[in-house]
Amino acid sequence: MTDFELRRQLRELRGPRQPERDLWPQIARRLSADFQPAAVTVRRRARWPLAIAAGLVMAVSVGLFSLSLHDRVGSVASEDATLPSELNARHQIQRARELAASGDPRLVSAEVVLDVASSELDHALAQQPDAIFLVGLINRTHAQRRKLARLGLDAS
Amino acid sequence: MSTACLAMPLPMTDAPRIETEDGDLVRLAAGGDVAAFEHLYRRHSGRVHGAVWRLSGMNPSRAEELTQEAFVRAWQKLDTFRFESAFSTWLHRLAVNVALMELRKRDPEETVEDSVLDAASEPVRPFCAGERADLERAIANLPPRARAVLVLHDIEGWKHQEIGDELGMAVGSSKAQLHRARGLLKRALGENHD
Repeated sequence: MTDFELRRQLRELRGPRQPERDLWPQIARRLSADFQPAAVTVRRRARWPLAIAAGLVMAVSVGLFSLSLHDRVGSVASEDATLPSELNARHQIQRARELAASGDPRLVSAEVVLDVASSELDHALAQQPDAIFLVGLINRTHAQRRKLARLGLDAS
Repeated sequence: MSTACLAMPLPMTDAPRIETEDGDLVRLAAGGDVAAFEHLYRRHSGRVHGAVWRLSGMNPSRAEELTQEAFVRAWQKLDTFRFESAFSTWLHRLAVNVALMELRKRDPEETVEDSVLDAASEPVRPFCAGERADLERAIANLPPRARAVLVLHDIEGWKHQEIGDELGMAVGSSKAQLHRARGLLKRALGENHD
């Protein structure tokens, strides 16, 4: 047999060959256990504002922590007991805003950042109401706002 | 001109329509439509299975596993298909990659060399050149890497550069493996008895 004859015969082997049994049921089972590529892409896009909001919350946390080290003498923990309710916290936030508006510019910046983060998180929660982790981030933002309020009171 | 000759061009005129339909099905499947993906499977499973069957050494159960794996990978990577080539080409390439990855896992280079020696020392078997089944059996008995090069070059029509890229070998090595594979094949087909 020459090389030419061999290659001609090999070329004739080219072509489709059906499996001996239908493989689709097994493939379908694996697909159903797998993720769907398009859905993942959408979810990734939707998480961008969340990442930004979470980053803002973290930045404010660090900022507030360093701010409290400089400005505070007393212990924050001892004052947590003075915030018995959400109503009281809102009152203190309002008070802090008033103080910050006429006082320390660092507090004003922190408040603006927290406002942006809170707004982003509210927007994200409206888009993904089933995202439990967003509730945690929103709670964290509120906690930072309360901390900001306390700092504002201390500065007054 | 005979009737048979008139019938020949029909598959060629169907090709663009099929690819257009493939594109629609791919878009639907990329959006999570499993039924659309099943259409793609029904349409292309023969070509995919044929390629991985030959690369696996005509091993039916291994070829079925590879075919399943190829379609699952295709489903996972549909969002990376850019419509720059025909879907059938993209899918065929992906399936061959799946089969070659399997080959790399199962076939370290040293065992290939052992297989070459084993195959070369086997007694020559009689072969009837007209029998397709014997040719397939002879290919299946080739060492895995030599078989991969032979199948990709002489059956699937790949270039040595493409084979070298996929198998991680130099172009010269690919040519050497092909030469070796053809030699072993001719020997197995009983050339020495002629």
